[in-house]
Amino acid sequence: MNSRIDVIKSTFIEKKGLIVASAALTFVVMLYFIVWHCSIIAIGSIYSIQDVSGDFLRLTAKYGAASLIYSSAVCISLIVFRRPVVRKFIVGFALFLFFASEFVRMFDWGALYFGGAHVDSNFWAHAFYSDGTVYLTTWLSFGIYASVLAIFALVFAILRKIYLYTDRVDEGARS
Amino acid sequence: MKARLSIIVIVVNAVAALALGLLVAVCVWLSGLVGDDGRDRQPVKNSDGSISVLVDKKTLMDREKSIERIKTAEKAFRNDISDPRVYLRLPESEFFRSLFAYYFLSKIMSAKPVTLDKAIIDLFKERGQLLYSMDERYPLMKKSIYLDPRRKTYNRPAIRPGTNVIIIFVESLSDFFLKEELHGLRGLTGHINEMGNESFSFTRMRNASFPTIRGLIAALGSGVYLLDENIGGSRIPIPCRFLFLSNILKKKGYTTIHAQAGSEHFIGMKDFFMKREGYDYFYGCESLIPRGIRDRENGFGVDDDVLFGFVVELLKKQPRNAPFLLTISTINSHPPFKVKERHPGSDGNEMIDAIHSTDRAFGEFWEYFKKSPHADNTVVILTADHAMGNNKQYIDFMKKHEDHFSPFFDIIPCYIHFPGGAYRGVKNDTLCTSMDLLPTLLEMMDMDLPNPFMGIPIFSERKYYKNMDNPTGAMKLDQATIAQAKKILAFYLNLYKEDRILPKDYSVTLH
Repeated sequence: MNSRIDVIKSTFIEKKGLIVASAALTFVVMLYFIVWHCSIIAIGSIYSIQDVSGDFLRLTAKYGAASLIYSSAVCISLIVFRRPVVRKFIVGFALFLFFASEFVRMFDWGALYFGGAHVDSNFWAHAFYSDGTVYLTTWLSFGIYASVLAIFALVFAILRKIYLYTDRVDEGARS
Repeated sequence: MKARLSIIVIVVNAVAALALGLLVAVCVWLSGLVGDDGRDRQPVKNSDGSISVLVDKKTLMDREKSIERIKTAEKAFRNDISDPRVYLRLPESEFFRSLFAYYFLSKIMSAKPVTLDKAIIDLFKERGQLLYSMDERYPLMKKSIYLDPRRKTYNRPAIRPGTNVIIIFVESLSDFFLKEELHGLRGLTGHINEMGNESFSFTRMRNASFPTIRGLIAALGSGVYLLDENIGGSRIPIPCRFLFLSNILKKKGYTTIHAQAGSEHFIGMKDFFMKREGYDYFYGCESLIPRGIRDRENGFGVDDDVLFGFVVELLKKQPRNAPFLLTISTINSHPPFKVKERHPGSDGNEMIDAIHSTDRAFGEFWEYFKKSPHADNTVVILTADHAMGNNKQYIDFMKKHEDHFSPFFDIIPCYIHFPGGAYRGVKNDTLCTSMDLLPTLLEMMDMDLPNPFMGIPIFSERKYYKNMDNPTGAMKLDQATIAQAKKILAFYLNLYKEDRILPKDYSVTLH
């Protein structure tokens, strides 16, 4: 039993960088979801978090699960797969998924601010008509773009770290 | 090693997620304790999933009880509309649902022609909508604007042939905003009220549709359009044609013009109006102020004062001896609201300021019109494309006037100013919808023709038929009702997709 704990301890110490980066990815992604949703409710709607607190906590749990699955899947895939092409594809795919989410949420923010309505099942029917393009060059939109880029850059940096750490994952096993 | 590391990664990630989750929970807890989860806002559901707020005979006998029941029903549905949990939906899933609905759902539903059964046909007939009276392929076509020509009355205002017609659709103008005695904001719509006082009015007209394009189709074409806006759009153009007032008046030698503060290209409006609905000219914001996108930065289109300024110039150029139909759509009161003129009592509510701005812009036009050479030969109609939607400024404002809260569908103004101020102050209290406007105009112009209209003439026939209103507050949404609604939706969607509203070879032939 003690030897098993020792092994875990040593793995933890050896791969501290990877483990911390992985936890950071979970934390950042989850925080991104939560802060986005807080801002949409607190600024974009007439309601407060208290109005929906019960459901909001349930949503937080869902975001936690989604972030856990996302970052664990990325890390474990990078640990398991060794071919550089596959590993790069994994990172690219993870970034694509994250950006897709950001992209939709970016428009959701815009839709809320300008149209007074959440992205809903009619969103696509209304989206991208020429009128809407006037919103793409407002100060608020620039603020949204900046936030999107900053968060994307942060996720990219963490994924890069994970990529580099997992590149050396076999070193411990060999030694 | 890899397996061990993977497990450690999962555990540490779980701890990170849990820690953040707990932090959020503590913050929410500290900032006011966990409270309402919004579930009590929903209407009570039956065990079979239907929603019932039924008012039985016994309740109806008891006036107080029935009012209380109706209020409960209204509250349940009002709360459902303003459910804050809409802000808790995941935008990603909504985005994909919207893609699916747009590209697949309507295609699947519109794929086959649907023949409605007798029970549904009777239901339509009760509302004054006659189906399959001429042709199976074009089920909406009927021979006359009157369902029973014997009911035709001459006890109504008349519009003589050759009179110009101007119809102004004020964006989202619920009748409530014109009632100072209700909202208490003096002079909010002073100019529109002044026009109303000098006009004939339908005091209980409800909008039949929402949003704008559907509202315009309801009023100008007495038609039902259930798709989401893409009528003339470039992604999936819908080929259907309606019979608009413009198609009919062109036959009488009218020049037909539409001017709007919004974009010409939005949902393909210009193409739709000009290629299908017989308009000669269409002016959107691109024509009104062609100086680039920066002029339109604050919301959709240009300000209504620019629109009405343009209309005044247009009227100045319009020859007196050639009749015209001019339809106008405003925009300031569309979210995001465009504010040109603040109302002193608005408390910063931009919806109120936007309505006031439109009123001021309309005032400029009205002052010009009354003195213009067209005044003695023009009927001016002021109405709304639809009622105000439930945007947050509307909800904010209506918190003080809860009894009148009616987003999307409500009473809308319908003022008709006749040349020389005839019928000034006369009011018609018949409960009707905006789909009745076109047949009623034709009734007043003494015109009749084969048509696919879903509305009926108000003076002659509306009182004989039911409205879509539900005065008892009795509502039941069960499986059978939903199945019926789906069938009706599929029926309409196929009509739109296969252009089965007007026959291909249809030409306006007046009786």
